[in-house]
Amino acid sequence: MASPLLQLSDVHRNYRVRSTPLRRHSGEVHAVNGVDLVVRPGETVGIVGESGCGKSTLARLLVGLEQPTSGTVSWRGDDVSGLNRAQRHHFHRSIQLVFQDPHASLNPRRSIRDSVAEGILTHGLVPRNQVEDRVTELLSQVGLNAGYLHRYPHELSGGQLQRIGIARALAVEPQLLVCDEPVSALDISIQAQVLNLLNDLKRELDLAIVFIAHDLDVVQHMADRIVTMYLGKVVESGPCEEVYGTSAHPYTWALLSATPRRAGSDRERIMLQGDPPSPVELPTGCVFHTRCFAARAECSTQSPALLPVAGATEQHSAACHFADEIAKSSTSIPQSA
Amino acid sequence: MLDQTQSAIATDRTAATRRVAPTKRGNPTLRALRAAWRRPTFLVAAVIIITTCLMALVPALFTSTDPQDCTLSNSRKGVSAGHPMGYDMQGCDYFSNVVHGARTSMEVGVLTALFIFIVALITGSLAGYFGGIVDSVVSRLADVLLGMPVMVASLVVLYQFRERTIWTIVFVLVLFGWAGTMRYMRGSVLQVKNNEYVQAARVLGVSSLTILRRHVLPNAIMPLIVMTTLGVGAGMTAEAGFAILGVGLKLPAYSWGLQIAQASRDGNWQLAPHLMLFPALMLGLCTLAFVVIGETLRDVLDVRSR
Amino acid sequence: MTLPLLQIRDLHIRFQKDGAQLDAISDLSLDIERGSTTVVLGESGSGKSLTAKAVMGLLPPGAEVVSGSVRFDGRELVGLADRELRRLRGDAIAMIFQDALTALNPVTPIGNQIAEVHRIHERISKREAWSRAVASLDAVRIPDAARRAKDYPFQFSGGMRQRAMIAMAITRNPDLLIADEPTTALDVTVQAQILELLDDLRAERNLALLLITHDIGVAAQSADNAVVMYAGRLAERGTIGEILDEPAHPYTSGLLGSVPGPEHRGRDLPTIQGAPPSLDDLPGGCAFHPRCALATDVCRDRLPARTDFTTTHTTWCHHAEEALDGQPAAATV
Repeated sequence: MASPLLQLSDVHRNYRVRSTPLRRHSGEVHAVNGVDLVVRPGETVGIVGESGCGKSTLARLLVGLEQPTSGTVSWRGDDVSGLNRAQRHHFHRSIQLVFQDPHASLNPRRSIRDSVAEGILTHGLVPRNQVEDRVTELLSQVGLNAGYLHRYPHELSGGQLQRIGIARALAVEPQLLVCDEPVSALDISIQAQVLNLLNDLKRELDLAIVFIAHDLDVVQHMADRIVTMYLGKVVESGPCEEVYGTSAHPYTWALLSATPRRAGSDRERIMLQGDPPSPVELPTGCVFHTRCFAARAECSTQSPALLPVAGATEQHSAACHFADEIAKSSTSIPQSA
Repeated sequence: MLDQTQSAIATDRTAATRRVAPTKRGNPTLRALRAAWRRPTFLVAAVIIITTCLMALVPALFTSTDPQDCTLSNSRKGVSAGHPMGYDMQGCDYFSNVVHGARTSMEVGVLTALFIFIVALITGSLAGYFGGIVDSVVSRLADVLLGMPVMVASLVVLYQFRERTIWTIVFVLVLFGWAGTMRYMRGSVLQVKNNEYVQAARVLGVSSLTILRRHVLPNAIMPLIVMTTLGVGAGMTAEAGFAILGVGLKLPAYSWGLQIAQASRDGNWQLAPHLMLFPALMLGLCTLAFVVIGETLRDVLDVRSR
Repeated sequence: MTLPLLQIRDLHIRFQKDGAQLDAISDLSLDIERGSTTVVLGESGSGKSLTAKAVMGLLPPGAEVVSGSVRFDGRELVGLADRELRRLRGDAIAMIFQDALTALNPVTPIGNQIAEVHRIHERISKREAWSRAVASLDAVRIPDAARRAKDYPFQFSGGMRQRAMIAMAITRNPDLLIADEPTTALDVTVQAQILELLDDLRAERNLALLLITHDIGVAAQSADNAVVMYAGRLAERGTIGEILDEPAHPYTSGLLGSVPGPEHRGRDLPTIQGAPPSLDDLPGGCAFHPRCALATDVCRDRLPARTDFTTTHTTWCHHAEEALDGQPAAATV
């Protein structure tokens, strides 16, 4: 197996919150709460979870918009905190972000050319007189012609803007692309175009992708491996087929059951009660026990570790005291696709 | 239903191509300014301001009469042929006086607004963008200034000067006026800096100052431009206020404020209403014109409306 | 056969924008029966939300009904006086929105807001109105409703707020409930709860539910009937089974095909090329033709006439038979 491109070990990110008349809680938000994550070259890791599960904070940590409160981030085996200035600069260039809202992620007062050229100029990647050619090349890579060079964001549709956002990220020749809900703001008929584009680029440029989305069908289509997060913790991770076919954590199972489908699933449908609890007052023990249909007494006291699931490949692990039982009962009859 | 041209265009099947109506094309700032020119009120206001600027720069264009060429027997005489605004107390041509007064009033207004713009731009953007200590120092200083009764404080400071030039007036107005505008700018920067395109630039590795200059300021500066435009009128009014209170400019300077002050003294304006009417009218029109321009800019510069 | 509860016939809504007249909705016909769920599927600019607003008599400024009729329970709503419409709104016809936080008044307790709805429509005591409000909150399964009624919207979680908004909508026992993207802002586990709740309410109260969504999964799960809209016109309508299993419009099959499923793994998704047109720049003929793989000259020149497959299944496509046979019909780029 290829050595990891990026590795997070026990990464935490906390925020202080103050109590206001409209916010009852005060204390610390554990947005990311001890996450281990490995991304290997050329693979797509899908991250799923509901709002407040920390997936967006994780994206911001990956691209350096946030610093971890504790834990280590390694890039190609080197601890990032030990890098010197120049190395750090290069590290940040290697990981780029594609945003959710294509309208908000482009400066309305700059032309498309200027937006895409920004990274190239900042890092001096090509001589100045070739910048325009490079931008044109990038636009064609994302399926747009040179006619868009001197347009402004307000003249473009959401799908086109998202292509520009991708071109801007590719301009600095990253090795890892973090996509935070890249298609959820787009019309359905446009979503498929952008997903195909990302997959084409991944193949052409040998990119690794961290694909964050709430839509499980979309993540399943894109990802080689899936990571399920709940309240800042990784509760299950493993190869896509295994996690979808044999969920070993009740939360993943519930998420899959809740996703509305054209064709009904043949496994038992799980309906969760209530909303996820506030990440300020984390439940004791297993963070999921307050909404879990399989919770027993020990779940409210002991926090389960992320351990390999019995009988599965070694990469499939889950943080549940009863992972093996859950995996047995969640298994659906294999679909003859 | 056959429409040849439309179906011809519609056969263009480039992936992800959407045709855009031509009116929507181009640089958003330029588009906004073009939209402003199309408004009649904006044009009227612009004409008033350009005329006043010409008065200030080249008074000879409007009058050849020397404002100091006076005949005391004409004192307070009303409007007559060749003297469209009558005479003042010393029997000087009042039209010539009012024309020459434009320069001082405009100077005070424009200089005040300009300096407030510069100070607020620098302090507001640094405080908003970098936060921390810079923000604390700037914001607390502004709080102190905004907490003061501005008029009283201005009077106190102005009394310290024996000789008051327009620079003295501008200094006092900027000293007590920058804080409010700074807050506006700071708020605008805070709002813009959370935009995703600013984060995108950070992820690309663009340096902080470049981000501030390239992404934050161009999108945050519009409210400041609006405030500055409104501020010119306010500066002109304040100059008149100081003159009436006797802490502004002194004769023999020419300014609309001084003329209003003279007219209001000893019941002069009851005997000769034109002494009050004309400078007040000019001052009012100018202030209104700047307000109109400021409000129009506020409307059209909101380019985010798609 | 009795009349349907809501009967829309040849509705035509026009928009004034920058001096131009835009046809936001054209030739829209739709029947909704009591106790059934009808889904309006479409992308941005398809006119799906405007349809709902037209039924509610809440068209935005600049939009007006040019022709056509909207009959509710046998009564014509187009041209009805504002007073009469207000009497219907919130009483016989109710609506819920995507964002409950902005739909609820932040400075008034939830219970008071629901009680207020009753007092607008009926002269009853405050106490009576309050007890009905609590009953409604109970009906949408808010635990401890009597106590929670005194809470303010910000004290509710996202899913609870959505329930509170539904409680407000159903408190007068409406015949028709319009839900405009009611679960789009919610997490999937909460979305599942809300969809189940809406379906239970429909069954318990014999509600007609008009559900506006862009999510095919949501439509598949909730709907009895579906209409697919494109660029302000109906593309296809039928029972949900007909729409999902035998789509006879290239746009419908294109949409269905572009939703990722297990069969697409490791392959490119089928896509519809291009983007939905904007209203000020609609292609002539069939508005879908620039994106359609089946398009021929006739599609560029003429609006398609309706083709009826069954009494329920109708499509507006020049190549309906072909589209029905050759799925997926949309081109792969």
